Amino acid sequence: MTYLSDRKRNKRKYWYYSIFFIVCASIIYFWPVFRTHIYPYTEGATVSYGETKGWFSNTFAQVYSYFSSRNSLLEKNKTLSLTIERLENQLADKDAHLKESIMLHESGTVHEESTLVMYPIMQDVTHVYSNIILSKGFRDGIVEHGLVYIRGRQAVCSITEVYNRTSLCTLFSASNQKVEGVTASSSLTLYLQGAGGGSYIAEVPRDSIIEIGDTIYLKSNQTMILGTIIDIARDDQLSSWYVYVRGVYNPLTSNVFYMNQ
Amino acid sequence: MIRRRFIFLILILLALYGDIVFGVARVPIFTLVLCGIVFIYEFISSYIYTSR
Repeated sequence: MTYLSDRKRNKRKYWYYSIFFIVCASIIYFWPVFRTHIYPYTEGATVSYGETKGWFSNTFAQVYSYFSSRNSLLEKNKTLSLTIERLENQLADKDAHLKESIMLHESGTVHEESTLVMYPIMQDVTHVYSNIILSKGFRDGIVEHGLVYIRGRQAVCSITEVYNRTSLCTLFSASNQKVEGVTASSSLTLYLQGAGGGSYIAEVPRDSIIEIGDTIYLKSNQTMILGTIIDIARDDQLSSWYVYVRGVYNPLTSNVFYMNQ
Repeated sequence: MIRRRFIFLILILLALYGDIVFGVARVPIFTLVLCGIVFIYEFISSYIYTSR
């Protein structure tokens, strides 16, 4: 092999690297559009994965319970039954209060909402949470911009893409997402910016009436909780304070999602 | 050499498929990681073979 032919080979190699780099950069830049168009054709694989994952975890639970002692399982069953009963009572109580207040405001017409229950097919368990793929789609009544929450009416995300059997939900706490919240104590409006990892940052004017531990509610629906204030950076040399809010979403514990229809 | 590149191409296409089916992030993470590994391998392997 002579030097001249080696130079030609190196030049060809640089061309390959350049084309490879351009293709990668294009895929990254156009990824949201590319994925939105291709995903409907691969939705079946996502649904199958969700079903298989559910089957595996159910099988594991059954094997585990087969080898557990009967007494411990009965004890667990009893505890769970008591918890269900307590929660049903709380729910009925709150439902009654809600209906009473609706009837007072809207002379006699009460709107009954049905709740969709959904399971996450795919969650991002790294600290860059941004989206969740949920197990319901068009044919189950999911609509775009629908509000999705977890137990205790804690808002976590909003539906951004709807497909036939699945939907994509973008977290309020995703990086650079913005959402408006209000505090329970002082009804101060906060413009929360998602910081990833299920948390938010907000800027408030100095000397605002705000405390660590305050609950933040969604401004557009003040029955939904967004998070709790965990820290306030008070610097008297600045004209505003920074408020750090811990959101309610945790991919390890959030396994059931709800949406009102 | 061609067979190796063919295998890399198949792996990258599989990673792309995985990103479409399971992708919840804003960028195709699996594809990016695999492309990085392939690029580093190709870059380093040329130095490994020439030093033999």
